[in-house]
Amino acid sequence: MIRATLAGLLLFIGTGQAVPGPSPVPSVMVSPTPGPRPPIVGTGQVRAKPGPSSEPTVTVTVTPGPRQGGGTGVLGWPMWILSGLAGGGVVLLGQLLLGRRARTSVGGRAPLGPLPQPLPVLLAGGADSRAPGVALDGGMLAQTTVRAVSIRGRRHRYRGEPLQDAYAVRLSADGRWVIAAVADGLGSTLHAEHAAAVAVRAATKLSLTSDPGWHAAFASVAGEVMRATARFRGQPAGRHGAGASDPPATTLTIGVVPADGRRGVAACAAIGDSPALWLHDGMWTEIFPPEGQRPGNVTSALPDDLGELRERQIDWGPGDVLILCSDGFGTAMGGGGSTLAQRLVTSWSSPPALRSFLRDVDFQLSTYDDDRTVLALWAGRHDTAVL
Amino acid sequence: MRSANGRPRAFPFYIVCDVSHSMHTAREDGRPTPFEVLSNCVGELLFELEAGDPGVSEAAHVAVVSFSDKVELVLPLTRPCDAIRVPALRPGRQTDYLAVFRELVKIIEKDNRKLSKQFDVRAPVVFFITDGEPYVGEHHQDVKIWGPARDRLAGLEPAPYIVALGFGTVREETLRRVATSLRGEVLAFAGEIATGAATVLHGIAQAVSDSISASVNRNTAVLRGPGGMRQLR
Repeated sequence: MIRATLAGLLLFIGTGQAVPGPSPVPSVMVSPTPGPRPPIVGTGQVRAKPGPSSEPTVTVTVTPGPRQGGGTGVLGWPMWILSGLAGGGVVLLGQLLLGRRARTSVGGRAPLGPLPQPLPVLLAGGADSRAPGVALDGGMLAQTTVRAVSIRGRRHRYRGEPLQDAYAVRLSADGRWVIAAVADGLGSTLHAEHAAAVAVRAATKLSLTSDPGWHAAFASVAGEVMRATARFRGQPAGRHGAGASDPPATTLTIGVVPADGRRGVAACAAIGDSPALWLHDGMWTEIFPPEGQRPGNVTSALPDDLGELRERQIDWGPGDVLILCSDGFGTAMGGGGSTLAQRLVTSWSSPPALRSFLRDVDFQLSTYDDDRTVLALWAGRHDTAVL
Repeated sequence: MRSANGRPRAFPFYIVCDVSHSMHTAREDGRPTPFEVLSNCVGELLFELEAGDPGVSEAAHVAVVSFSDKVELVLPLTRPCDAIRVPALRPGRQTDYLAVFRELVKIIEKDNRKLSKQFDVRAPVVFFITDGEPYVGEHHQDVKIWGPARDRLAGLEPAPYIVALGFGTVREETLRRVATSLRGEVLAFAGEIATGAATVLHGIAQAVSDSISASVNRNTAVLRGPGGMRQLR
């Protein structure tokens, strides 16, 4: 069995020895701007779109020049009138051009392709800050900077179904590692959002003190998912997911990076099709390239299917970015070769402001209607002076 | 690298309708002819896709082709959400398989070139609906004549799935020769003799709609068999 053994990083089965404190109930923290202060719990409001338009404006100042030839133009009109008419034309032309640009761009950025159709949006039976449709956070963990966002997809918004992705990130018990996890609850299963939420919490509580390997670690998480979702097993399909019938199941991708922000080895492991990408020297690398489609396009998932565990180590250091994501976002990255991926090489070369990060992930593109979750890590302390 | 390239997905579906003489011969009992039923079904199918799941309406691209002695592209490949009006089918005379397969090759190749510039194009699906054996002039059209054209269609890249949906006098071996297979199953379905044409055609329309929705939602070709029809082996 291949083991994810790092220099000093050893995985230990069981969540009982984890970092103490966090409630078993999902707690969604939303802070409008990243910073060293503790995040505000529950009361923040996240907007999926930027606030007031940042569309540039054009101001044309017409300054009358020195009078020549008696101050009249060729039509015999005073030069200041002709200048005013010309200036007004320029203003109108500018407004026209900007108006055209506004219609073809989204939030001031060029669209990635055909835009989706407008849709009615239904809440999933209500709104609750512990199970939001949008979750956003950012800040520092030791010497590592984090951005995290999860957005309910258009399909779920249209059907009034909950966000079925989840993320979690925390320091290991010994403070040496940042453990990050992203899970994508399978839409074909009942209450998949619970499986995803439990999986990421259990994953980030794994204690890194022994060496049983990734397989045992995922088995431990699977056990947690199985116990926590036992009450949903055997239930008939209800309001959530008209086509859902199988017991709760979820993908899970875990990333572990050194918390000290220095050069080292990072490790990733995954069950299912939630991608991990590494930005290094301006190039994206897909850590787990697709291995062909399974029959019926069914991905492997916890808690029942531990057979297709994939793991990989990467060299990690300042300037690198590691992102874990659900396929609702990962597919748009095209393995690192898409227009979006190239755009993000620049905008994610350092941690973006939270609002920009949300906008980057909340792109509008026809047929991309799944939930989107991205958890991004940068080595180093970047959020030391945030307004 | 993922095949998607980060582009929107496009699932092309071609509904190919036989509009030859046998489809629109008036019935003695005054009930609608298969042609009339099929005409209504195609319109309803597109309306259902447009009004249904928006994800399906955006990702599915649907074309309608009619054939008899002539081939007509009734509705060029269009997303249901963009389909404003579906032109009516026009009745024809004979049943020329060679002409329709030749034309489908041209249509699908052209559509693929166009779609590929903007979309991540998935394998096309051709729903081939017919009620009779190929017949041109005074003779049955032999498979030696139309078979190679069908093979060129099936050999396009990406390779289309051809679902043969037959009723009336069409022979099972003809349907098998037209169809391709998916995961080891031949995509050929025959209407039971006891089932009326109208019932079969409504079943076909429902199966086409279900297949389109399921393929988009599961991100891979999922083809449902129509109720009232038997899958051939």
